[in-house]
Amino acid sequence: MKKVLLVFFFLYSFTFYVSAQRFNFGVNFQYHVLKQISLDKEWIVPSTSYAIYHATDNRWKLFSAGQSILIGTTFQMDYKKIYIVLEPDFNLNTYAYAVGYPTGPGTEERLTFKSLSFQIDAPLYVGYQFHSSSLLRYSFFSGGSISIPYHLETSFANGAFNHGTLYNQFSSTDMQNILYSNKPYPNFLCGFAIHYSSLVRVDVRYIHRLDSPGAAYKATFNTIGFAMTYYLPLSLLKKKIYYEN
Amino acid sequence: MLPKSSKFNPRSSCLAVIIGQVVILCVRSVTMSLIFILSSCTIIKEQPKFVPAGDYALVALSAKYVSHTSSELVYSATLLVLERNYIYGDITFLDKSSFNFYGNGTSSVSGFASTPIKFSSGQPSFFLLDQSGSYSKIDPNNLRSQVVGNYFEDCSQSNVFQAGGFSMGGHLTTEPVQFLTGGFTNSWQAPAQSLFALAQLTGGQSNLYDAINTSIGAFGSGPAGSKRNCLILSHANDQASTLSMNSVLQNAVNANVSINLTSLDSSVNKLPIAALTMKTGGWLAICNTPEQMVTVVANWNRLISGEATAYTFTITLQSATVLSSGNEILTKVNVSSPYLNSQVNSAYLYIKIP
Repeated sequence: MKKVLLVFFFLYSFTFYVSAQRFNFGVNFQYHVLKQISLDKEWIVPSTSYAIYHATDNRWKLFSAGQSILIGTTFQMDYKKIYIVLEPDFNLNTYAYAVGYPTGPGTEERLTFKSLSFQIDAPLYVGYQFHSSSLLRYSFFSGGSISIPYHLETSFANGAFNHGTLYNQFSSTDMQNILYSNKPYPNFLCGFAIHYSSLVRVDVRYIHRLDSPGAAYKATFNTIGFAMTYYLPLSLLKKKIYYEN
Repeated sequence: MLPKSSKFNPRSSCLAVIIGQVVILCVRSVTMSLIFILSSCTIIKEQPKFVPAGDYALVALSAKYVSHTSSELVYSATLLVLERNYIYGDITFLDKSSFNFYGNGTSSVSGFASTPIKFSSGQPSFFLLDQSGSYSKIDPNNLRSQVVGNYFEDCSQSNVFQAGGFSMGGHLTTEPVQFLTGGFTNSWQAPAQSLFALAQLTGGQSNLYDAINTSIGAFGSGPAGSKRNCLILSHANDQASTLSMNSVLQNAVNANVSINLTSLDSSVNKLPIAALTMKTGGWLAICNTPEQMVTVVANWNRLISGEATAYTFTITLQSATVLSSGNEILTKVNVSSPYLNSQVNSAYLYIKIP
């Protein structure tokens, strides 16, 4: 009987008439501007050309290491102080990484490889709210996400070259499988959020890529950005909310 | 509403609800992702390895004496015009009016043909890179390291090779040649990467003849082959060798080593390098730009062990001076055609009257 009831409620939950204490649906906007790319080796030998690059650009950078703009939806379930969020997003993700190309004694040509990736991100994370009965609440959250790139563009820049010369002399795809690839990849994310009633949530989040684009080099990607979620005034489950303090 | 049954476990029901919600949300997000993905194109395609863009280049493959009188010299020559993109091979549509010969007198072409040529294959080669002076003006973006790396990979498919840089009084740790390989090898990755370390060791003076002699010595203790090739990328006149050009030339002829030279600087003294190459059965390319050098070096492996379609000429030189045995004749060849939309480097043909 118990198993029958469990199955019944599992199926019944699909109707949305039975749920957790609250189910919210919203739209979110994210902007990630603080990024770090670091490579574990000093010299990069790409598989797409015969060039060699000196990797020294492993610092955190504001704006200049790339930016990400994410727009998506938020599905949030609350259960007491805990909430679970699924955020399918469209991510316009850019990275920029500068390398040195040896040209002579003590001289290197500085090239900045850039990648633009259109991808789908699907973060799933769990949060814990403090002061959950207040209008203004705050929470910490942590979870993971899968990023699925579906379109990639590569380019590079150097002030000393004109555009055509640069592309004639170096391959813009040299960071393939080093700084980017077309394979889906997992991320860890955590952050701090401020909630205003059930209307808006603003958070700061840290995202760490859990694998490298290729096997030859261990590339570390860290990103910090902010997100704003606006919950649509659709009361999908009109139930009284109980919180335990 | 939740049932009030005493047998019912509320925790389990909540868990079931949560799992149900998560499943449906996952299904929705996956559907949404699929719609995004299917509506767009993907992604990274495998491409051949990148080699810097080249330019049309003219290579003098050979020049051979036929006959002479006191006022007239007849000789044959073979010239190769390379496509600017090395994967397209040779330019074969030119006619004899596209070629102009300049020397000490008036040249006329009596025979002209476009001829397939097959180079001997499976032979060891020795690559020498001029480390003297500076490349800051003639190859400021170090294209040579990329394209020589390409040659190493091409060569390693069928031949063994050895490589080194040469200069005297510069930054090399060993002179006259600093070797990039432990011996003849068909492993190309490590030497190709060493080229970039070599790019940071330029300086000193050219010791071209000593370096060639070192490579000839290496062939002596290296693998056997009916014909060995010494490939040189240089940009300066020899200033510091202890050996003379003639002694090195004799050693090369005795050891059956062909000296093939590509110069990155068109202001070098052409006569000695033309003599070294033509007398040993090698070829000579004197480039004006790094792009021309890229084209020539990218074709190196084909020019020692592949096939080409070259132009053969029979040339009659009406000399402005009296010709006699022992005279050395250097003829400059230019090529021009409305179909070639950039200036091609000049080739130099060397003949010594026996």
